[in-house]
Amino acid sequence: MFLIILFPVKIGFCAFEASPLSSVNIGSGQIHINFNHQLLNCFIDPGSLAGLKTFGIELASAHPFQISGITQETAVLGIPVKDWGFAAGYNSLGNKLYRETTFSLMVGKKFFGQMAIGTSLSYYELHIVNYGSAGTIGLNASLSYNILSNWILVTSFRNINAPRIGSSGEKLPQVVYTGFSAKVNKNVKIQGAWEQDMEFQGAIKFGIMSNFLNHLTVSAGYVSYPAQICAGLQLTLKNLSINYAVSVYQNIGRMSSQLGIGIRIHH
Amino acid sequence: MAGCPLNWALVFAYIISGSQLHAQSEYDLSLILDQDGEDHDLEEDISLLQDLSLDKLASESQLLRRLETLSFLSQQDIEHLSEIEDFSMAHRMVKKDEISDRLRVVLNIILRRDHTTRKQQLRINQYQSFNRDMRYKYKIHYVYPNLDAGMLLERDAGETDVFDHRSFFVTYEKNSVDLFLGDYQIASGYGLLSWSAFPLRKGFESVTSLSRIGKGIRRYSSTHESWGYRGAGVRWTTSFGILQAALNSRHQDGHLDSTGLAIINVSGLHTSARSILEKKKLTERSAIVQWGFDKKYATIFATHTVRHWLYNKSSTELEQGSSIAANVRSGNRSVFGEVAVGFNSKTGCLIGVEWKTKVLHYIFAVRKYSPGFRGIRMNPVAEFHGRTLNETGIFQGFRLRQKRNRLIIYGDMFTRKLPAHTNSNVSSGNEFGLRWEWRKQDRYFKVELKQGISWLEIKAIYPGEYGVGLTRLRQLRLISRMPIFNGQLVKMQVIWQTRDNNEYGNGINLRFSWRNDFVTVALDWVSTKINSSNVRIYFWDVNLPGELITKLYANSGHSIGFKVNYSNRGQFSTGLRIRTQWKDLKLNGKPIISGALYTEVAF
Repeated sequence: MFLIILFPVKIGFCAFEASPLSSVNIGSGQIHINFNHQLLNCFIDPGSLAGLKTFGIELASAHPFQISGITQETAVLGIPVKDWGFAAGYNSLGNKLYRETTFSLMVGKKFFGQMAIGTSLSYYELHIVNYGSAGTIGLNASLSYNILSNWILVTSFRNINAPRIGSSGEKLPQVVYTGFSAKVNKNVKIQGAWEQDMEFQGAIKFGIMSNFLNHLTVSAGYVSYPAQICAGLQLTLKNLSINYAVSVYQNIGRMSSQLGIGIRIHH
Repeated sequence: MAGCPLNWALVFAYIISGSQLHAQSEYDLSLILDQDGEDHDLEEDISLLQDLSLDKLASESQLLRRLETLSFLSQQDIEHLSEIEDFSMAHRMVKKDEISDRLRVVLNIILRRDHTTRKQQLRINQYQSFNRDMRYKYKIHYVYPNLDAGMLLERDAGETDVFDHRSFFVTYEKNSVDLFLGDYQIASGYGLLSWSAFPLRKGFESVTSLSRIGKGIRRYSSTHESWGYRGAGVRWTTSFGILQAALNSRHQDGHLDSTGLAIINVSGLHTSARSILEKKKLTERSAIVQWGFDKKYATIFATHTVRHWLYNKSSTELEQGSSIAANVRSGNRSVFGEVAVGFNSKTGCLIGVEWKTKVLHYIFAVRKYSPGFRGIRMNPVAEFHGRTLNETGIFQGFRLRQKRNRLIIYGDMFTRKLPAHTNSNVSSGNEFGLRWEWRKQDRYFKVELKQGISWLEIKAIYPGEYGVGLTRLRQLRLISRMPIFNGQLVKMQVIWQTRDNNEYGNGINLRFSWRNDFVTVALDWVSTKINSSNVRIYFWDVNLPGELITKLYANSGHSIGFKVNYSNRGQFSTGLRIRTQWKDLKLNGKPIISGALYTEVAF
């Protein structure tokens, strides 16, 4: 009973509801748009791999809801091949008794010079101690294009194939994300999005990202449901980046945090 | 400064006086086509017209030929279209007085087409409509020389599947062969066997549209979720005529009843437990073959179709239906009709004559559908629609055209025998309409009067006792459209409607729209005073490009709609519409807010 109340990342929601995001994106209102070119965002926006120019690896560790024992670990490896971008990712959320694990293969490419399309294939595995394991496959896709020179519109779909998991056939979340990112000036980007889970109430998300200082990127944002105030920062030193984000859940008075590190290798 | 009324007045004066308004940044076709809000759904036609208007790769003759599949054009429009071979002829045609306003609008839209040196074209439309829940619709349209392909992905509000409705179509045209893959539609003859998703409505437009003969297969983007055929089809134009054949295999929502009749849920909504349970439970398999003859003096089509259903791993018996349809023309007269033997050997027929001159257009048509008559996708002109047809009716009407004035009068009588187990013998009625219209270029004024009477003869319980249940519906409508400056348009519509003298519904709709090369803005206001939901009123909603939505009003209240659309010369377009509705004349209570966001991008 204790576990049922505490595990869902969104209150009352189902398994595999949480998708990995970079710290800057979490800070910018949990926005799915990969406006900051981080590999961690490719789980939801695989189309953004179309712009991948360097090899890279990103790792993150999160501590959801400040609940003792629950952790989330994520790792992504990105590889550019000609004008294609490929990535392989791993994400794991849970504690000693319950764990959700996702393995993903992602690919993105640009078409017609302006339109990026990406898709990812994920294997979801759920493990509960003394109950066993179950797995299923999900298909995600994203589409993005410039609507004006500094504005980009991104639409992502999670679990298009309506996967179900376990003997009870629990439906995994199907989510549509629609949003934009606009470069206001050289140092500032703003983002806005609507996230619609097919089973639950939709959420408005918006945020701002700035890199006024060299090597330092900061972001702040808001999510309407469940209500969250978010902030993130990233320190970039040559090919290495270190980042941190927090999101405060207003209704339950708790906080989630994430610490990440990334390495890019130019070839 | 900003709040000074004089400044705002100057800004407004600048807006209404200074705009250069040549290009059509988008088409609010409900306004342009002057379509009646109660008329049948034209979303498929609007989708096709939008695709054609933005198709920069098709040849001029290909585009003109595709226009012939638009269902809202009359037989006369089709005949005019068939005379046009290229755009220079089309330019001359739009200046002629004898063509209809609709054809002029359609030709003008096509003639504005830009040229391109690209070899392919892709367009993506996204619609997100919000009311209590979000509705998503994605349309993708791809054009390559001789190839036209599209995809539709949709999730209605409340549905739990992200792409609950998915469809695609591919059409390939080469020389005398047209190939169709995916979803397609077959409009055959006068709709006794197969027609578009909505029948031709009896009304003022029927006077010129009733004689229009369907010529077979056309692409279908499945805006109606359960109507299209799914599979493959071919049209082959030979010296022996036009040969068409198509195979269909698709899932439908529904079940078989105890008599083996397929009960299909056509709403396409999968939100209730029952609709989810019945989702795609039936499989329809069918084949249709057609031979056609299409010349200047006559169009003849003979059709044969077979179908069976699969349900719970068992198959129903094979159903067969056949029909012959013709439209034979001689000078300004024509004879048209279709005779069909439906699936259960019941017969149906529609036969008419038409006489048209520059001034006068007269039409007379008789229809008789035996009780239980049904076809594969039947949708002929009828008063009573259902899974099967059953009625006898006579329609006649004429249109008088003299300079700027037009007078249309139509009448329709209908009757049907009711089954023995009901408490009525016969259901009958008649409908009458009169419209006077004054028109000068873009401005017009119309007065319409309509009356519909229907009655049920109730069975005698005791000898000598006889009862009649009579319903009388009357409607008076005034419509005015007036451009006030370049690009500004005001349209007003007032409706008075009564039912049996004690139920009424009155409404007024005022719309102001403004357009320049890039931006379209529309402001719409509706007020209704209605004392019974039996007397409903329809007005057009503010529509975004590609939409053609009517709004039904069944309560007293007010409603304000607003739309803004930006279009960057066909490369990118975005728009927003919002409607606020109060179901109270004193604006009490919480208003209902609905709207939609739209983006379109072309590559």
